[in-house]
Amino acid sequence: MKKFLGVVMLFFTVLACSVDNSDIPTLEVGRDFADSDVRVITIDTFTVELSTIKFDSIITSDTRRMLIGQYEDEFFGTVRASSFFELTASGNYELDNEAELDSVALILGYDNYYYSDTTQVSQYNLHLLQDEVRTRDDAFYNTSSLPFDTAPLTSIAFEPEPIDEDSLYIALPMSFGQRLFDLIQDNDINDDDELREEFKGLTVQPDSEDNASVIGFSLDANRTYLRLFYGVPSEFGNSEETFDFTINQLTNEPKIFNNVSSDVSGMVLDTLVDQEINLSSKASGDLSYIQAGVGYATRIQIPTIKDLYDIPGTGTLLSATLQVKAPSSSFDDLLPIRDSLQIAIINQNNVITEQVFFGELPAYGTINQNEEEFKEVLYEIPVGIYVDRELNEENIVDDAFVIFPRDFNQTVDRIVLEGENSDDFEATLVLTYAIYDEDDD
Amino acid sequence: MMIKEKGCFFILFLAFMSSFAQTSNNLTGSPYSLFGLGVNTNSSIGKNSALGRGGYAFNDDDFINNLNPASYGTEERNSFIFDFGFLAEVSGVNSTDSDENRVAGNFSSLAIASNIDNKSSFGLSVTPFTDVGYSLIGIQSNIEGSFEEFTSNIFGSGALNDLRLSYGRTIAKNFRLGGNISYLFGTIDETEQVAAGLSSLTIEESNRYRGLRFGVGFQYDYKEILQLGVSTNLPTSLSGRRDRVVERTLDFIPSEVESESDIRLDDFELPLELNSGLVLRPWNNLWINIDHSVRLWQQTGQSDNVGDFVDQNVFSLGGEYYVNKNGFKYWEQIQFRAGLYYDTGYLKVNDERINSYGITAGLGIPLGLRSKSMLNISFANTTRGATQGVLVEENINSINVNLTLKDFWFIKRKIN
Repeated sequence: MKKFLGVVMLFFTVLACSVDNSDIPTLEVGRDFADSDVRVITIDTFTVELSTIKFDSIITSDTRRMLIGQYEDEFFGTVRASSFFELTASGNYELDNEAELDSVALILGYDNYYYSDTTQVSQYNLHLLQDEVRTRDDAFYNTSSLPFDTAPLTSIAFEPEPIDEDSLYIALPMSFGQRLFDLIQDNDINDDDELREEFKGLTVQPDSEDNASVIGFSLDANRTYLRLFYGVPSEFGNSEETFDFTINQLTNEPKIFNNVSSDVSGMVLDTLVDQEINLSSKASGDLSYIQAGVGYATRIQIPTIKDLYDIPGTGTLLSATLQVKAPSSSFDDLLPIRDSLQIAIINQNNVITEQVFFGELPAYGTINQNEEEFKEVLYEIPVGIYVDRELNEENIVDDAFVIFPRDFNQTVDRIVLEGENSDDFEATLVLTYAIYDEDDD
Repeated sequence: MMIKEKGCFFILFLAFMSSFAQTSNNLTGSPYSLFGLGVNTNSSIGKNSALGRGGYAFNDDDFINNLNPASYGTEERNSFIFDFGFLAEVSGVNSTDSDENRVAGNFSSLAIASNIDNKSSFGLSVTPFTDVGYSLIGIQSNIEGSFEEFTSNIFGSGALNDLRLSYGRTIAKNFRLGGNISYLFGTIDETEQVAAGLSSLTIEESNRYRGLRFGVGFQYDYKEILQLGVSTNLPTSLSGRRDRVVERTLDFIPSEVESESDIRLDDFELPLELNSGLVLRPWNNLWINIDHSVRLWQQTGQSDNVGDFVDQNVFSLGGEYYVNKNGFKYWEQIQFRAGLYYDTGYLKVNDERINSYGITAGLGIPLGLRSKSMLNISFANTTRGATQGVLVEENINSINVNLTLKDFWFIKRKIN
């Protein structure tokens, strides 16, 4: 038995001596020695259908800018943005009894956004609101409006300098300022509610005859404010003081929104009176349209995508990129084209149901930089997640995806795209598909 | 007493066997193990590995010779042999622009043989049948429909094992007949990682094969100086089942594409194998074996995705020498062995056969003057493939260590 145990011991010694076997040489074999068991193919022959839709309304009360101005657009008619907002005291409603008002002005800080020709004279008309800036829906839309005095409080005609200057200074009538000043000084206005009894807010409307530009203004309390300039007499002369009203961004209730519209009467987009209507690019001159603020977006469908399964074998989608081109005649320095197109999935009623992701971030279509050098704007949009969903959908659901610019609710950026039958560049879907089993499932 | 101890060994054998089946021992690092079901193993029982891997006619009663079941028919009484082996491999892989080395080793085989009566015995063994172990990096393939390429890395590991029951009997004087049943089983895992642009795809496959194979053989001794051996392994199909998990990242979002188990694979066909050998004994203490084996792969009608299966021929030559087997000096009992072989291979890639050849050498060291047990050490240097063109040349140094224990309790009893 001793030897028997010896054998067992020896056996385990041998086992313990086993060399680590995880170390297999990693042979770099290039393309010669062996072939991959996987076939990867790229296909760009699927039909892509583009159409234009118009969202009935876009929430604009969560904006981070005021949009004001009007210009005439070749594709979108009269594009008009006006802003409605409430101003409340940035501090306490207290003024020295000795204080005397010097002047009153609205200062609007430029936030560098502009669209169209800023060398044209703009006219802004300031009106007092007749209703408070308050909504039952928790939000205001680009179609929302509030009643305001027909006669403007004041008007200003100017050439905007959104890049070179810091802000726009609009002097307001002394009578308007004096009334507010006195009410506060006499303690008739002690809080926001009491202020709203007397002053509900302002709207800045571009003149209906303008063909100039749309300008963005900041909402920051130290950039955009209504200011009372006053002096307090003292032993050493007059000390200069100010009292500011700002847009309160700290409450949950919206205190500002922009009304954005474009008047397309008589134009091809005029037919889009309802969100559910799709205007095929074939019916709109082989073009498809996108306009932020107003709510035009391009709806894209790949009707025959399931034909991908006609390829023999079992496979899976590895990537899907949509290429769409903006014709060079549709943009210039004044009407620039923006990078970054957002992608969302919409149902058959054109209601957005979900956002498309790329990794952990929302997916964005970007301009292919190589092509941009030749003044060709080719958007490449990663739509793998959408296409994969379509491929795996049990029932045929008439959904689609929609592309629109980033900052859709606070700009008037426009993009015109070549449609599916364009002579210049057809919208193209480039798929990469991997077949890992030559047998069908 | 003897029966009881044999029973003990049998239980021990089963215990080893189960652990053997579980260890996924990579006994090779050959890129050629990508093809078929892997490369033929370098491990063997007893002394064959030192004799150019031949010995179809050997019937040494101190060793287990699994190459021919007829060798179990050796006339002897109350014999019991226990053999286990360890294999270590140092291999260098040589392609046109790179060299790599690796070391691998593990417990590799286990066998017992025991007499039933004085004319017949049976044997039970478990050995590797084929070994798989490769990692191929940076395989470039064209993305169909474009001028671009995708890259894949392929990793494989695993082994097929051979659990074999053999029986041999002396039918007439100098004529032995034997048969064996092999249960071939094992798992071969393959992982392929594909990177195409920003997307990636990972396919993990686990392929389980199993099947039975039958073999028969005979040996004939012509006087003392010549022995003849013929054995055959019949063609068989190994049935395969595959578990597969496919994962990918699409637009940087990882997801599982499928997870399937028990996908039926095409059967893998093992060919008819015909082996024949001669052993010459020109002097009392010198043996020379000449062997030939042919495996008719072409008839299986199989092809791999890179090559075709062609008929395989293996030729080997070996010799064994000792001064005096029953000598009174220890060194006189040491056995010296050497051999060489040439294997045409069964795969043709780009019209080039993946052949291999090698030289072997070994020692049989008795575990004592009166002991019939022996420690067998063999060394083999094998060259496989060729660096011309696309193929890869491999140089493998393998060391087989076998411990063959024979009848040790009987000896103990004698001492008592």
